[in-house]
Amino acid sequence: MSAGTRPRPPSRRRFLLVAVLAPLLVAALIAWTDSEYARSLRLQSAAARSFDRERAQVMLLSAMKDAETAQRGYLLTGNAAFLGPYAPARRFVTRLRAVEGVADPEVAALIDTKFAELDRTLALSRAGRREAARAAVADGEGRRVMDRLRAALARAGVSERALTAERRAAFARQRSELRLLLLATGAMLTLALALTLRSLWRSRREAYDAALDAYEKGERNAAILRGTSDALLILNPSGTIEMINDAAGALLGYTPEELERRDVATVLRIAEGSGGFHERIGLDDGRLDRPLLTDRVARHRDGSERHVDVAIGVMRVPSGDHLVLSLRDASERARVERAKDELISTIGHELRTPLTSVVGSLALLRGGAAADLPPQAARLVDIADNNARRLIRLINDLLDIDRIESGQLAMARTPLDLREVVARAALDSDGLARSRDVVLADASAGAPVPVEGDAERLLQVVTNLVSNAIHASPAGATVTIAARVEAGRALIAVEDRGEGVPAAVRPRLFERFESGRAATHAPASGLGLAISREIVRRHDGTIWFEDRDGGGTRFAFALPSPGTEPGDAPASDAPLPLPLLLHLDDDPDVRDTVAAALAGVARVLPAASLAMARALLRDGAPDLALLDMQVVDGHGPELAPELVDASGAPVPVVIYSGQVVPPALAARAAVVLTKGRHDLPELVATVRRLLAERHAPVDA
Amino acid sequence: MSLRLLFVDDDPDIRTIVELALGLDPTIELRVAASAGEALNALAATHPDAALLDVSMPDMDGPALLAALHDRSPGLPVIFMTAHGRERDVAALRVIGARGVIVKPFDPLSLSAQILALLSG
Repeated sequence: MSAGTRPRPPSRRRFLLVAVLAPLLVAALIAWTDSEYARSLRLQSAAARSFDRERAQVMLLSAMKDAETAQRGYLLTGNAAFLGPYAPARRFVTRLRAVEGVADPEVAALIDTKFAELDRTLALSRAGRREAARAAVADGEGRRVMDRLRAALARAGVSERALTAERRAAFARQRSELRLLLLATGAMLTLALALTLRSLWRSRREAYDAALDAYEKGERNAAILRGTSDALLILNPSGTIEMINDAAGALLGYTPEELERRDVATVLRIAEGSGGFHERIGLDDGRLDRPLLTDRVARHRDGSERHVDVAIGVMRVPSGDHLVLSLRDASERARVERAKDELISTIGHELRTPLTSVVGSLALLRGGAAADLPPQAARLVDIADNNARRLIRLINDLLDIDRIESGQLAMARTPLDLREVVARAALDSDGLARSRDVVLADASAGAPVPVEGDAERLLQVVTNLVSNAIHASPAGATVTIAARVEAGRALIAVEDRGEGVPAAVRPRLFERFESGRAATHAPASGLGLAISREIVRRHDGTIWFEDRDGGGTRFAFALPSPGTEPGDAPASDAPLPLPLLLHLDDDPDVRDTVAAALAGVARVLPAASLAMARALLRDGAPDLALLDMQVVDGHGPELAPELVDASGAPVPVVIYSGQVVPPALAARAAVVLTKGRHDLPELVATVRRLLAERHAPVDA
Repeated sequence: MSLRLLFVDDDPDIRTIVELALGLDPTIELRVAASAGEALNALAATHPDAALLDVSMPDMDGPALLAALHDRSPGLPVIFMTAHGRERDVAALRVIGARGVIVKPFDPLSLSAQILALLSG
């Protein structure tokens, strides 16, 4: 299941930019519209003023005419009633000429001249000089003034009308522009509103879709969590149970609700000690790199304790690293293991009975119990017999592995001479060697090689090594078997001139189902070396292999040899093949892995405790010591003062540990390597380098 | 002097092989039974010097037959044949009075030597 991408928060800067710019734009639009509207008002009032002036000029001329008509009527008739409109017309003219722009200086002068003429003639008439008044009128001066006034006003009117028309046109133009502007602004605002609404809708829709998706995923995960038969707990970064499924509840005797928000320590002992939860459980220091905690104690509600295996997954989420724990009842695992063992055992034994008939019949045929066989039939019987025996070996190997796993591989240890074991192995393998045209040579020492051991099981180891060596050898080659005492230990070596062990399988050669040989030549189940290693281990010994000079492989194992001291080993014709490396580690898997990785580089003396290491040191100092920090009876570096060679020089120390090494303890170490962080090839390279440096002064 | 040996196994193939294998040794006088009942009858008829019993048989298993044989003939040396060669299986058979155990598959050509070694040991 893919984890999906982690969502990113929306960009605040981009949002702020839009949030500032959009109102600014709207404000600018409003300001522009407002200024256009004000301009429109100004144009309108200018046009109105022009029109008013134009009308005032017309009314001015009309009032002048009224005044003139009144004067003429009075002069002609002498009737004062004609003078009635004169005074109002004159007042009206005075008011009109006061209107701005109506009377230019010429018009004003003409008006004044006209009124001066009118006043003069009227004064003459009132003084009884009516003829003089009529003569003054008939003189035509008044009419000419009036004509000039009319002409001046007409000119003014023409230009005023043009101005009015112009202003009206400007106003109309501006109005339609304003209208367009308003429409455009309205359209833009509408568009902006529509976009905003659309974006709002989409954002709400997306939020809804995301929420729905999260809900669906949550429901699905919750359903998986609830429904799975595995017992699961989710712990938050402080070690509190955040979620627990029914299976875990059932295993622990609680309902899920009762355990939620409780500390995991209520039910499970996985994070002891002090400090933060992640520190205690080992998330911070890499202890969870192989996140299976086997055989931990879970506390049931009824107070009883259950043994469980805990697989831990780390869930890295924004609120902190959560842990997903999967609990498996270890008793169930044990039951399944037992059932598997029973099955293997049953099948193994059920197969043996019919094979007994097959092998027995074939052996009798070969032995001539029935009749002498024609050569071709004898050959076929040989083939059948060899393969039936191979089947038996396979079944025996399977049953042995079964015994090893169930801890039932018992050793009946008695004092014996390993040379006899070698002789018997040579005898037993003689047929195989002949069939493959390989010569077997027994190069054992002349002196006894005493060990306390199970003769049958040790024979099985040697026979296995010899069989492997024969199968690895080319035709005509020699396989040498030798038993001797070396440095206080009994040593058996089987040497071949085969193609050697391929690099790819070297580190795992002693694991189950690994066969170092080419498949076509592999005689066995791939279990032989695993069984051999176990048998040797049960004898407190070590088994290893190394490349021989000139090609081929040397498999060897060394056992404690009682009654021999390092000093009285007979002078060996070959020097010790490899430098000695003391490896202290209380984890058997680490010991085996390191021994396999260093095969051919050093002879590894494994020790599980300080006591065991000290016992090994009594036989002589190693060339190099590889020490774990914490072992059952103390700290590896405590050995440092005792790690001196015959000349008193300190033996180089490599600390190889999963724990933090305090500086005081690291001071004595040549190199500090951390398990998990430094891989095996690095360890091997370091060992090689230190061993080379150690021997360098001798070469120089 | 020949050894009178009573052999009991319900598997006819194994019976044939053992008959053939022990027939090679003239010092062994073999009496074969296919079931526990047959074996008890043969015990009365032939008075064997020793018995070689299969462990698992349908009518009465090897250990029960051993008890029945010892009831009638106390001290009769009994050797078991079994496919279960685990140390604890062998030890269990020794505890109930077996003189020895031959683990299947056995080598028929050295079977008589194995039996004689167990009886003399």
